[in-house]
Amino acid sequence: MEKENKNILFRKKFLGLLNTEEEKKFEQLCTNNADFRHEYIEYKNISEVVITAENEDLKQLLHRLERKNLTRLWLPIAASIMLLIGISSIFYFNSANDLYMDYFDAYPNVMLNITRGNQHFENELELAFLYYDNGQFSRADEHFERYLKAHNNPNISFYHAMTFMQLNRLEEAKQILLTLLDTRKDFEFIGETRWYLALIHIKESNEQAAIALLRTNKAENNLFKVNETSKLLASLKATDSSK
Amino acid sequence: MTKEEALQEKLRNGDKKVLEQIYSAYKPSFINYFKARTDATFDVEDLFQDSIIDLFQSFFLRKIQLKKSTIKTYLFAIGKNKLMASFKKQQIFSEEELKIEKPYFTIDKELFNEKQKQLAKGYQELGEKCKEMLRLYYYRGLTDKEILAKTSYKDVNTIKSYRSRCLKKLKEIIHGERK
Repeated sequence: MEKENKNILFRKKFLGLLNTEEEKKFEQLCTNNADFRHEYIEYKNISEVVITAENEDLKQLLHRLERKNLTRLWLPIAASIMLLIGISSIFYFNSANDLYMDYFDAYPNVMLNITRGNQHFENELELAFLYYDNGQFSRADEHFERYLKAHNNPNISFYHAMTFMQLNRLEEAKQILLTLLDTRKDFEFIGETRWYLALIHIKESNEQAAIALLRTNKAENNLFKVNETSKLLASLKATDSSK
Repeated sequence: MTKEEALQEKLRNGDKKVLEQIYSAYKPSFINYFKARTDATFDVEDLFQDSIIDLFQSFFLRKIQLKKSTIKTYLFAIGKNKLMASFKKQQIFSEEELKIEKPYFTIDKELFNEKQKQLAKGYQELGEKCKEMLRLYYYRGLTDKEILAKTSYKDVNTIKSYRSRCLKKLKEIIHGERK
């Protein structure tokens, strides 16, 4: 075998890119030819070492990015602290709507691997997440609705609620989240459900219900938005005591 | 070409600037998601960085094209699989959640054998020119003709003999034969 072809073969094998037939041939060559086998082992060893060194460089790059981001974050924070010292009293009159706006953020799709494009989508769920990822929440709602008519899946119900929150249809989101908390203890997003329901309660000026949910998350050591939960609880208590 | 497809293309080309974009865009949701599923002692930041690296190398080395996933969902899937690999006995995620569109490329240097540990140490001691030669060949996977087009070496034979010298030097370092 020509050296160039051999190296292409080694690389494909090393990266796991051989098809079943090529894989079989490769194994045969290794079994019948000790030199070939040793050459490949050497190629693999050196490749792993060189790539690991590249990974270390990438890690350094990410560390630098992290430091850069922290600096970017700290400058405005330092400025904000100075400003807050001057206007701290206003903080206590932060309206419920402001708190909702401050703390509401879209929950990411971590359930299903979906992308936009022209490919064929197999079912309602894939379509629902495709539109969810795409920010087309009305369409996502339609497909979640259809999927949930045929399936009882609390994790997907949670995403349906998130879709309603994105559409600002908070009453419908609230009903789903309440039902989840009342009926299911075995799903993945229980901490998230309490958090988002708390935000809806805040929007409805029902601070006590929000505080109770956030406290439950803390008591159960739920780690979802653990820092934000403490901050939000502090803000809610401050708002409550100022009334 | 959609924005997502353009980003994937840049990753396949090894564009490290895209990493900054991905890093900033997905870090908060990744950290939140995984912090909620691990205890306080687990280093989620480290998991994030390692997942980003495996994502980058999977695109660059394997030239993968995601049809059904976004970069974001692929990154989360890598994170879930890496987390499961580090907690071998705990079933943190269901099989459904661990499904990944394309296998990701990863190297665990903790699993290096003695020979590889020596090679890694020797590689660090090589001069920059040798390292660059080995990088072009073993990391970027370039053929000698492609290396010739990108460098100032005289011809393909010079490249071959220089690489042989670098590998010889590496072996000498490992065996302590360098004077």
